[in-house]
Amino acid sequence: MFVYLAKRLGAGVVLLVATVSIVFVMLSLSGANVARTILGGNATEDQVQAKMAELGLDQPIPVQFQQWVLGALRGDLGTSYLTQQEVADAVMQRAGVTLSIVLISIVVSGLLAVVLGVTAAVKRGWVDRLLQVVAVFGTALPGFWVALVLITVFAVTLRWFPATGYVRPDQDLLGWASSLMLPVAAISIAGISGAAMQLRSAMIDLGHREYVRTLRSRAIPPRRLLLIHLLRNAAPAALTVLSLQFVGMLSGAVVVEEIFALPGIGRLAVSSTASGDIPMVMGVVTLMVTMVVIVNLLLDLANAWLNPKVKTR
Amino acid sequence: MNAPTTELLLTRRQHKDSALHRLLRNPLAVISAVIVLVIALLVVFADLFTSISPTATDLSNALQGPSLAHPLGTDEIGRDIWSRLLHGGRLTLAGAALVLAISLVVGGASGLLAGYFAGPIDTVSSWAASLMMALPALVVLLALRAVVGPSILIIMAVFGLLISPMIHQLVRSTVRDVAAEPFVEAAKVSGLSDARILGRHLLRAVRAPLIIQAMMVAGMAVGVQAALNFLGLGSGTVTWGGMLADSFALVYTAPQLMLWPALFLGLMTASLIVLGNALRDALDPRGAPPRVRGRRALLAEVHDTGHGGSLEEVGDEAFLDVRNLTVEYPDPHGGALAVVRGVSLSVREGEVVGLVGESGSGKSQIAFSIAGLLPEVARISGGSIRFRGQQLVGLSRRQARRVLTDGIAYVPQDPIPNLDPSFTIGFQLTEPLRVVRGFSRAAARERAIELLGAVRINDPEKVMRSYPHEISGGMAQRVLIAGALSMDPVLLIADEPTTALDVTVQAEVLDLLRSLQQTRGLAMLLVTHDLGVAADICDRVVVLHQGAVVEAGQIDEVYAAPRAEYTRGLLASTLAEADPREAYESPEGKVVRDA
Amino acid sequence: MSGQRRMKSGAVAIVAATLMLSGCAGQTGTGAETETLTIANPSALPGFDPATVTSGSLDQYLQPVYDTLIRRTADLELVPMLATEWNYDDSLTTLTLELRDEVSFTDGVAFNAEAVVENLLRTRDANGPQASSLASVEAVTAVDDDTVEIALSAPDPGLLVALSGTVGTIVSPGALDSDTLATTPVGSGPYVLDAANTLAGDTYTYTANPDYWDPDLALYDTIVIKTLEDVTARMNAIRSGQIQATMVEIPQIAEAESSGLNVHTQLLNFTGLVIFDREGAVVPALGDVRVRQAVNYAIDGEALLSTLREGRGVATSQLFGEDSEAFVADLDGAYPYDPERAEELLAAAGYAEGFEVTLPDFSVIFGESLFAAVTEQLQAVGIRVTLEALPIPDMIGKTMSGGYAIALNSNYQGTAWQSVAQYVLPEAAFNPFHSSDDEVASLLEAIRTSTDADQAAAFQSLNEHLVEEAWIAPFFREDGVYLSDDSVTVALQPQAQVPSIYNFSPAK
Repeated sequence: MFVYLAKRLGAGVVLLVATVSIVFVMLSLSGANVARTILGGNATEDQVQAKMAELGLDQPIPVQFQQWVLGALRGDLGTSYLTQQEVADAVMQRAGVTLSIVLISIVVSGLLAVVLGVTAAVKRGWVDRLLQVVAVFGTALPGFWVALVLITVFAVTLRWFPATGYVRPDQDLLGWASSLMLPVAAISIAGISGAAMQLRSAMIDLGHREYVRTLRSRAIPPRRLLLIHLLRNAAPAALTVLSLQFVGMLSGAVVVEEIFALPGIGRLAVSSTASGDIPMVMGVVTLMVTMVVIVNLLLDLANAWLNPKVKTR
Repeated sequence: MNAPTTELLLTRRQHKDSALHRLLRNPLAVISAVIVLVIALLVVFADLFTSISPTATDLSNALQGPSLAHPLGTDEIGRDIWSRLLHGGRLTLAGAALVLAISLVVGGASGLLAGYFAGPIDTVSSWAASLMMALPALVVLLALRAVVGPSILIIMAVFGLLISPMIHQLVRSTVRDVAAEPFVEAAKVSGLSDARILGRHLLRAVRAPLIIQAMMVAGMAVGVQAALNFLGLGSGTVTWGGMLADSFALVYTAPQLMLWPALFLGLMTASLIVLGNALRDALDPRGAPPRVRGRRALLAEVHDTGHGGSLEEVGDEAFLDVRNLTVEYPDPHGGALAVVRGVSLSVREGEVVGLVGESGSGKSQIAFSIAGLLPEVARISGGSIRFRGQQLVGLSRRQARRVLTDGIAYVPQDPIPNLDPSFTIGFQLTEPLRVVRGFSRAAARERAIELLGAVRINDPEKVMRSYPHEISGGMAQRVLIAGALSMDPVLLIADEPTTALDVTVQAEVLDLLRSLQQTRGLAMLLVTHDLGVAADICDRVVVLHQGAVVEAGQIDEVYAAPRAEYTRGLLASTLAEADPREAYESPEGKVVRDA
Repeated sequence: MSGQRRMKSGAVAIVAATLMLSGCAGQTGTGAETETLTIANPSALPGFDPATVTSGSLDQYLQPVYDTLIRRTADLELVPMLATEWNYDDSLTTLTLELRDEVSFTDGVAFNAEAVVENLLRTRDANGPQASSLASVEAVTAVDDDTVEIALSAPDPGLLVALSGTVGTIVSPGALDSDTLATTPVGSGPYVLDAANTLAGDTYTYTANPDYWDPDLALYDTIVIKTLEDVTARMNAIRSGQIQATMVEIPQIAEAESSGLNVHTQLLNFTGLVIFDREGAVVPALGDVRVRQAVNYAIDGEALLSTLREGRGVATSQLFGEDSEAFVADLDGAYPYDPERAEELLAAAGYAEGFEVTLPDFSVIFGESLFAAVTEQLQAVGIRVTLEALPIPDMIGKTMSGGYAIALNSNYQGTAWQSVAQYVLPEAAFNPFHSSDDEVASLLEAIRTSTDADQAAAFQSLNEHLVEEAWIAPFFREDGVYLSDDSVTVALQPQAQVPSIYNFSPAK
């Protein structure tokens, strides 16, 4: 068990290093003109060259990377080229927003997906078909379109929820919940149907297992079969679906944060990528991949706990 | 054999009409296929359907409604919307096709190799897959776009790579499942090359789930393209996503601009997904939801047609009495396929009756019918089943459960898959006692340990704590027998209880069954394909062929002088492999070896 | 089945909780208090170090915390702020500023001449976007505690206006060299930054500075400026009552009017093709003035304006705006749309078959439809356009270093000198081939060394010369759009995309 987890942790670290290297190289190949962005349209080429030297961008990429890695190992993610903010500060300030959105969306879509997926698997018939139709549309409609419709209806017309912005929970808990309502809805709508469909097929598949028939021969009531045996056996599959959704929702958060003008790391990723603010993008990527690694590790733990074959190893 | 065999048989028959036929009978599939096809044709042959250039502007004709010259009107600088839609589809669909092609080739090939060869290939490729899955795709694409500029095709190619782990994992796990199946093993032994095994068997098994996944991927590709456009990272060339994103700027002044790209985008994606589902169902009808026939249809009508057609004389003392039983499965034409046809048999109190036949003879279906365990799609279309005088056919599920608790217990064929892998043996043994029979936790535990002792398990405490994967097949079968005994049955239905076990263990389990039967005075219906096994333990046999009874009688009579041609053949094949068994039998016919 | 029912009622509880939340949100969202001003700015502030601030619309973030030396009113008048008086010497190369007494920065440090010297020299010497505005400054000296002298290498007609903007922003000397200046501004402005309710790049909250020297400039208790870069987000925010005022674009006007918002417009932006390669170095054809004139005739500014900008503007052929000294009304019609004339001119110049030219594809910034329409119109007279799409900063860099002969540009119209400094001076950013001629040189000299009416006359002559030489092919001047709701009164700031913070007051 411990060996297993240590191995998974090691794999996570390697994953982090590999990802970060790839992204750094890609960014470095592109970010040559951040100096122009800093100086604005009126600056001369000489000014631009001087600024690049100032930022160390005239160094070869391996040297730049080495410096970044050495800094990161000391916990220093550097300073933003554009805003002179400490990257670690800026990223951590915004991580709460993205995590709020993604985690709440995971919980909401996870719960609803279980309810819908199980209902569809058990009832079949019209419930099943309705879910399939909804799933098709949930996948077919672009996420940003859904978000804009939600804003138009619930923020602009009904004024139930704010159209943009984020309220910190320590300032105003209800305001926080209210500011997250539409973004969470926008992300979840795409996620629920897909996850529900996967759960549905997992449940149907499990329903055909031989042990279910044997349990039925022991006169176990159907509801108990469903809630204890089938759900328990579907749990690993459901967890895997959710972990995949987590990664997907991180990407979804980029779009949603942009539309709702939420100060999360997704919006930070878009703006700093566009301006070539390499330290900031690296900070965002490091944080995102770390989150994914942690989530996967938690998933491994949960699976180890759920799966007797791993637990007893 | 067992239910899966019967289902396989069904599947095989259904394959006679092609997947295409099944697809064409599904109206949703036809509609979505037509939509996909029409849009694809419009897009590919755009120049045939419009002579206007998608980039030709006409400022004096901006934002016009539909007209003869412009069937869908014009946009904010007088470009023809119809032409832009058709030409815009090219890059959109080409991008989606590219994503699909790359993810299928990369993910498919690596998944196939990883699943089939396992070992280092599996380790490395799975690691690479998890690496790519961990990358936040949109952020990578943002960075990529900064490097390569607004080339949609390069970005889509990388997206295809990023998404290929979805395909990889699907293919890998399916292949691993299939590679473990006996026919692949057999193919290897028979000297087929790896490539041919991979090509023929594995690809066939993997194609159905793959199609669904592929359609999802195509849909995602279109969506990501639109999202990139929305974030201001599109290309200069017209695409549906670009048209949609641009239309948002004018959503108030010219909302109609949003309509057409949204419609084409939505229709195409939705149709692809629906088509994918339908295609999967057509290729693999087992996964398809059953045709709904209404709740009442599933409750079988009772046709008590008396003794007609029965080959067996039954006395009044028979407490299980099956008459003219017919079991049907739906076929894809909406008709029904009978797997049991007018079968009659009976079991007297304390009697052991063998139900003998080869795979697909319908013997397991009879066992399921009696125990109330038929799958939902199956239906008893005729005949009656009386247990201690009570009619079992037509009972609701709740009533049927009560009958089970009243004395019918079931022992399955393949022990390990018949135990829930997620719970300990102890939980599974005590569960019915607690839930169904109202035992306290402690009493249930005590009783379970007692039962494990009764099936000759030496260390019941340890077995109680074990999970199914930790015990042997023979042990598992004893556990299942103990589970059956926990119902305090008077009739035991044992469905090929020894087939999946090693030869030595087979004898032990048979011996156990016999002694339990004798000490507890159980009646038993033993389902087997093996006349030798039947001869060991049964008082009478009923021989089944293609869903109908061909012969019935006392075991020694049938064994000595089979009347039906079919029985003779069955007997000959049994004797050919029966020699080793003789070694375990004493002249009295009793098994002397013990556990 | 009771298990399922339990799940359903759980879902109902969640929905009920949501509705409760929504009720609360509705109440808190709409009750805007009159003493708080909440507005949205379309650009992200790099930080509170004025030397790093790039564009004019970012001054809105700085004005609450920093005072400038001179203030520019909504009537374009220059009025005292930290400087009470300013005078040039006769040669226009020495500017003397008299400074206000008894002003302190919020860290308690007193404002004096030394602070001005430090600020101006730092901005000039830091390699930042504002350095070029002080390029002509040779020395800044504190004559006494209340007097500063700025010595120039040559007369600089833009200096006074510059001192009323980012360049003239005065930071407390104590904070100037601290590492935290980007996030913790210390100035002498009417408000102080409330760091606890500020998230860089998203929301900036300012509270009134109780010790401020001019109560007339501090009309609110609190000012909140949100950064909303997306115009749809700004529109949604103001329509849903989250903000009281913001800048939008022409396509939003109809929506704003129908939602009962107050729409303020002023002619602001100039859009056109800047023909950089007036010597024909990259595209020889452009060396011929007839070809450049042909480009002017080829573009239908009226049609572009009416289709892409709802007709909200004026088609023009001149670079300068209506409220600048260089404006000549007649020049608006100098090159009407006349594709035949364009073809004749091309033929006369020996390019009857047209020529090829590559444009940087800034359609992500300026709109895909504008690029498509312009490309089409040029192609119609035989000028074959290739659009080159690179990452945006790369394209800007390539444009600035002479990589393109022509580029499409859209920019706000500032003072006449600001336009000259951007497009006409040999070292101007939008003059990458450093083109000039004798006439331009002598007119520039005249502008530098004169004032008032003489200077205006020189500006106008320069304008006429540039139109005649067809340095630029302007399409139109268009409206800038600013929205406000009924809780706020706002006066637009001419020549600026967003009003100064002083232009807002609570509605009565």
